[in-house]
Amino acid sequence: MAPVYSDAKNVQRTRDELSPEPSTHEVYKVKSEIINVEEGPTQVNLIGGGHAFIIGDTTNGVLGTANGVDGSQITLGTASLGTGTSEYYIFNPSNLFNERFNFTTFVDTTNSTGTQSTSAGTYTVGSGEILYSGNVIYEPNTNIYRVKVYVDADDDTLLTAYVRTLTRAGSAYPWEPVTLSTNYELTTPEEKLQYRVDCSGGTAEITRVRIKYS
Amino acid sequence: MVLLNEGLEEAATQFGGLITKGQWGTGTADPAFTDTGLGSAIPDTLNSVGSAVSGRTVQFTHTTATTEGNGYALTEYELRFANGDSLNRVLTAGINKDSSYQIQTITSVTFSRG
Repeated sequence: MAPVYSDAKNVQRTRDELSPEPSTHEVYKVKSEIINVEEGPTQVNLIGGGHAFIIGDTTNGVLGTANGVDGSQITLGTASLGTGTSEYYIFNPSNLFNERFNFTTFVDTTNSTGTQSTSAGTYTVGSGEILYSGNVIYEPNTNIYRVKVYVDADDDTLLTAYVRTLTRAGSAYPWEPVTLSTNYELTTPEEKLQYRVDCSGGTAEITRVRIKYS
Repeated sequence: MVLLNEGLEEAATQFGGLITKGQWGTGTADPAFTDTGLGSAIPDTLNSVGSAVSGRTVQFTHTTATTEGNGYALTEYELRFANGDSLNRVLTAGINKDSSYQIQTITSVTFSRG
């Protein structure tokens, strides 16, 4: 008997067109890429009038022999506005301080002993090294009562985080150790807050520090 | 598909050129997503901002001079695009502005992976 391929093919084709939906279904894998636009801290600084002549000012607007707010002789035409810069306010959107290490604005570069890469946005601490921040929260007339500290690093098991509050005048209370990602009630609520991160051994590269507070 | 570091860094660079001005105001209502700018702007504080980019972060610096904003309690601040649209609105403790000092306001924006 001759092969019946053509008939079989026709039968198959007919069956394909009439048969019920297959029991296997395609599954689409969806990978979404999201770009976050993070609003960081807003820092407000007051820069003193120095000894520049300021029309209308009760201290720096006096002609003749007179001293400006910095105690120096007032000078017409000087661009000197004094060297005093006082930090007035640090506001964090949604009460969340977010440090990405692309700038040194909130890093205490004098006392910190690790290495910051502003281009890479990292802070690397080796054994015994410490990252100190400057003031990262300062809301006049609003005390900070509790914080939750997050440290993103390649090995956060090497790291211990601390926080401390400061008075408006800058008097600092003792450092208090915190457990990462855990709510912590501050011993002395105040208007200002700083943090530090210690490395106990090895090397850790920190890519982000966040502090949620209330 | 991945978002590249250089892409995020270029996004920050390009964004730095889009924000051109900052301004203070005296409004006190809580910020809302639907706000269209400051509650009550102080016109003479509308000044250009300087921008600096490092990595994926751009930092904007605005200055209110000794001759600007005087006599007002400054309570809100914004960054603006060139067309006048506002990027943000920050509510602050009141700063009683007078001619003895200038105000420097520094804000940062970072582009990151979600």
